[in-house]
Amino acid sequence: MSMPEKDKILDHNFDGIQEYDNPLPRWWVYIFWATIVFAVLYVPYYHFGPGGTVADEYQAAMKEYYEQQSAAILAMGEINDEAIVTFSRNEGAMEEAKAIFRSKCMACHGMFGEGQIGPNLTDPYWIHGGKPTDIYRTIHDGVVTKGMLAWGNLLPPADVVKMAGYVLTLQGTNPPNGKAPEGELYQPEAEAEGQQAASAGDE
Amino acid sequence: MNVQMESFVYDDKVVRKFVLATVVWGIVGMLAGLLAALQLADPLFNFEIPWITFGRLRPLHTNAVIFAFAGNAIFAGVYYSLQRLLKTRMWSDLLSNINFWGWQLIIVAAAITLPLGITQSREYAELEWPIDIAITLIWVVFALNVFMTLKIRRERHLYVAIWFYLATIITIAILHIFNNLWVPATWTDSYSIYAGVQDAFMQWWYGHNAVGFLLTTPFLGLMYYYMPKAANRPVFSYKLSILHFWTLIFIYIWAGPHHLHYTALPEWASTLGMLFSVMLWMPSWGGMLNGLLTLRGAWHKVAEDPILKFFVVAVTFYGMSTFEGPLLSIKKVNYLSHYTDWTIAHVHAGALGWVGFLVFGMLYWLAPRIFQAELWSKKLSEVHFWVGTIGILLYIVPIYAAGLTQGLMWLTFDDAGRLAYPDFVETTQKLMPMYWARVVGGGLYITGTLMCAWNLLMTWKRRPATYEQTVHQAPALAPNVRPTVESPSDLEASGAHVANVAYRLEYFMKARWHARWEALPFFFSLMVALAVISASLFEIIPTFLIKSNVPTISSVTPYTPLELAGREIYISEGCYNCHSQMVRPIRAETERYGEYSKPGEFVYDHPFQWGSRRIGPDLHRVGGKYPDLWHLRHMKDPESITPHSIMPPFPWLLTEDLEYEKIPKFMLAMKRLGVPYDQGELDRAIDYARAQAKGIADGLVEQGETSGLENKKIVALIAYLQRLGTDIKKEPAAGTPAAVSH
Repeated sequence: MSMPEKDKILDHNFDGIQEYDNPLPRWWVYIFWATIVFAVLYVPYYHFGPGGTVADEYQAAMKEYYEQQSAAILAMGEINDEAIVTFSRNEGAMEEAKAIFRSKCMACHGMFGEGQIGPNLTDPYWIHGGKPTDIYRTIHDGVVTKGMLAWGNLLPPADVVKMAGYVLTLQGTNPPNGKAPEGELYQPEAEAEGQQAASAGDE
Repeated sequence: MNVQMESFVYDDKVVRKFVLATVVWGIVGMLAGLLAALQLADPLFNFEIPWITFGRLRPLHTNAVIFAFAGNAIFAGVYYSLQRLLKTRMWSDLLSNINFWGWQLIIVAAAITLPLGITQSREYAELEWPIDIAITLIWVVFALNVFMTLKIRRERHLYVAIWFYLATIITIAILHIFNNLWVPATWTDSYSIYAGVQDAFMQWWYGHNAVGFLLTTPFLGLMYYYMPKAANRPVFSYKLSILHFWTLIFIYIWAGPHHLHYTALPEWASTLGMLFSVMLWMPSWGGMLNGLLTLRGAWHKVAEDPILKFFVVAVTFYGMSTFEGPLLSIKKVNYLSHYTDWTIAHVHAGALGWVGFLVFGMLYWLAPRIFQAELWSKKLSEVHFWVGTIGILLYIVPIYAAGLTQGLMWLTFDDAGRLAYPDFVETTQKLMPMYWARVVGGGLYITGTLMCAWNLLMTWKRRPATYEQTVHQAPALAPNVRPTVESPSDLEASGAHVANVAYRLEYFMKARWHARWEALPFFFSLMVALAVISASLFEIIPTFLIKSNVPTISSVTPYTPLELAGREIYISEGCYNCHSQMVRPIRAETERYGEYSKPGEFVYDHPFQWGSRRIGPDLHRVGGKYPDLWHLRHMKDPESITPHSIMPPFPWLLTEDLEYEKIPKFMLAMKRLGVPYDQGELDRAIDYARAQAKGIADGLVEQGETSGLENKKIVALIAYLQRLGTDIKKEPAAGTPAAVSH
């Protein structure tokens, strides 16, 4: 051992291995104590003090979110046929809606709304009503027994309205491989001749 | 002095066998890992072959590298060093050989059963009950051989390496037995006696400590032997050895619940897991310090010796991982890291860096000694070192990035307070470049392993015609000698007049008591067992006894016969490897998956299926979320339903017959565990199952699917998936038989 050191070597030897009798590094001892002190302080602070448990943390996050959500719905005003039709004519909103449709709705309604597991959305036949607000309600509340999710729980309120608008834009697009019509024929009100229903939104 | 010398020869033959097994299984286990990495980068690599589909391959990979690669390396290293540290041949060559061949048979059994989907589904304890029994027997053989060797030793004191070996032997036995208490249903199926929350607790008590006592303590023991040997330097500090050994083994045992933060595990347990993990930081670093500081004055050797390079990098990764472990155990960090690739990166830093490199360093050091020929190519071992190091970095850096990326994407909200990335697959897609980088890193690492194998093979070819049997001599230990106290008293030497208590204090502070313990291996082992068992019981007893840990939910009922069969398929296909069933009380999760999971929902879950990684989305609330037809098409070809999905297809579930006749056996085993099935349900189990299956199959036919699906596995799996997480939404069932109430 050529090292110039003051380390004391212990007089035992195991298969040629020797050991120094060096003291514990100071910083090692201090950090070890620090972690113990941390542990001792943590329990009263988080379990019995102001720190709060995981459950408290979750409730606080939910409360904050509900407040934000109700503010957003209030800002949007009443949801009626007009609002939905307005959205259906907003190109930006429909681009967004198309992306949502391709990610959420396509699996059951097909890429172009032609129907697959779920019904065809491009024909004028409706199982749960064809009025814009009916469509909105179906999307929002879902038809859980048939596998249609309640999207009101999954999408921001404004997005549900956009999606109802997007479904309106699919009407009459007649994509290939359309599923056979299901439900009842719905014709927009008397004043409407075909697509003119949309013009109601202009006023 | 007239000392009777005894002559003896060490058994290196068994070491050579274990070295061979280490290298062979190492290659197998790592190749399984490489294929798994490819499958995550592109599901095409599942090849639609059931036996190597990810859910079955991943347990094969983990079991092979842990028990076959690391396990055989431990045996090789222990058998070589123990004989020399105790100056005696192993007590029984027969036991050594039973140990070797038994262990290899267990590995072969694992390599056959896991691809067949025969699994308990509890991570790193997947092997089914007959193999569990074999492991117990072989471990007892190993322990017996070691303890008897201790008895015939010619070295009074046990060196620190042996303390770690003993801790390994004792603790692994305890962990293995208490985590594998099951009731067999058939020869290839069994159910854990624990359910839900308690099963999760026990499994992670095991899982965490398997890392602790199979991948940490034995390798610290090996480090304490092979590193000072290779560096030819004394160990830095005997005192540090003592302190970090005892604190490590005592504190380690508590840390398991940190794998279950934010889950349905009671929060007190999770807090204990976290705090003890934090306290474990310095005890772990004690080992790193003793390793690295042993090289003081020998750093110039590191530059020219690849063996020391391997050791230095190994110990450095040990230090890194044991800092990261406590960090990840902090709840707020775990909030982000849990279920992500961060954990995978952490584990691989430890496995590839610490365990792997320590093994390679040891193998290169052992090779010339056990083959009695110079290492074939030092240069190649140097190349191995660099290729391996680059491989590790190329593996872990992208996977850390993947973990952070996905974790943050899961948690991000947009301005409207909705998930910014509501499509799970969008968060998966982002990871693909990183997954490909991992394939490259892992590939490099395996290339290094192959270089090692080649180098060892060529060295073996240089062996002498017959191995020289060096005869060693040492005096036998005088029996019943009161052990000498090694370090002399400074107080006595100084001649100071002090009170007796000062001597006592010095005795304690200088750890002179420990010198005595070291001369008493059985007492020492007893102390280790006491430390480990007492620490375990502090957590286990309250987990099982405090009623409020698992508040009952009256609407939660047992699975129907068909759902139970479906659950068996879920387990068998290894779905838990990619899907959790545990929605945490975090808004980003309840938003994505639904109501967070409650402890009372899992009371019939033998074993629990909470999972540990979300390669795909959580499934606890998947029940009722999609139509049956969706599931059918999705299992057949996931990408047709979810573009860019990396889930493997499971087309065989649509063609393989469901084994209805096994269902009563599953139910009987469950009934023995206290699941309230009555005899009538058991007798008519098959009828109930067929009726439910027909309902599902008829619905699928109505939607245009082919008929006959009621006899296929898919209907059972659909029944199970549609049931998941739905019980809390139901009215409590009154009067109807539990199993058919819905």
